[in-house]
Amino acid sequence: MAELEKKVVVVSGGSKGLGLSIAKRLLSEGYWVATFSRKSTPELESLIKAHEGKVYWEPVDICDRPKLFQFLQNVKKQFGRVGYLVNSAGVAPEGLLTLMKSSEISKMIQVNLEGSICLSQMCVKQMMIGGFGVIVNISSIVGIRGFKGVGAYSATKAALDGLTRSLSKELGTMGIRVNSVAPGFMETDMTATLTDKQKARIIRLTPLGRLGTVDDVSSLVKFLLSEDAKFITGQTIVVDGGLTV
Amino acid sequence: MNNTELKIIIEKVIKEVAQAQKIELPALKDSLEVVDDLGFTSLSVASLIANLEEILGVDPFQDENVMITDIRTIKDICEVYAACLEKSGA
Repeated sequence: MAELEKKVVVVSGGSKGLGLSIAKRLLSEGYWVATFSRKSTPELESLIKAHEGKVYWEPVDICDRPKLFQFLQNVKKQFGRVGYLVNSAGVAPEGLLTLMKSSEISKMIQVNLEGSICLSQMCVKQMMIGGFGVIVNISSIVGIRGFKGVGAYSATKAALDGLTRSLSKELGTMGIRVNSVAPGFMETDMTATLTDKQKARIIRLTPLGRLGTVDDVSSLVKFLLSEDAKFITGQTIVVDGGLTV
Repeated sequence: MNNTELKIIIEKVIKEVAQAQKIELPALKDSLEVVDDLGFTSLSVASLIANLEEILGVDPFQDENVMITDIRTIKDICEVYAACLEKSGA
């Protein structure tokens, strides 16, 4: 299994937060980055401008299967076959389970879980042809340890780790590696609803004494995609400053 | 594309996938079973289908009514793809 000459990566949800940071990091490593999100953002627009011809973006809702399929066809036309996938699209409505709307629960399962599974299915087909591929699923520490107020969300994230383990067994002989990265609490829009008191508590419980950043996580994603990680598959690697130790 | 051309493509891809997976093939015949006679694993069959989708632009098994278990022989594969291509108007 050798690294591809032209590294084409699909990053789901690359318009903001962690997805955007991963896209930036991989561009600086020489990847051709294909990403999609429901809407564009000024940050994404400037990234596209700064790396003309090396970023491909389309407005796609991950729940729209035919559009997702067409997106991947377009990526192949623009950049060539996909060799790398980062499943980072996700939504995280917070609240006690009994107070959540069933439509919110369904939407979260559709985006976080079904979306990642279907996108993996589509990308793996391209990876199989090349006999090489690397997938990183962005899960979460809430998929590993229990936390109040994120019941349904944590279920989708734990499920992603299951996907990681099973796919790694299924696809290993095809030269395809699959790993999960499980961030702790990071400074992104997703944790914007945490109160200062909650943030202070998390920091107090974290051995490394701060909240995570998107850079902490994208560094690990970069490593797992690279040849330096060529013997690592089926793992969930936690990036949380020691919070869950 | 007529059925003879389709068969040539399918046999070519079978040979390529077998080579990549280090499977030694017997001389190909319509009646040979892909798993039992050619020695394909389920993963090699999956690879064959992915490769054929790239070339032919269709995956017949996404159709609810076409089951992967229905194809046993090379002839079955050819028929399933011919029907799918006809349906898609290619």
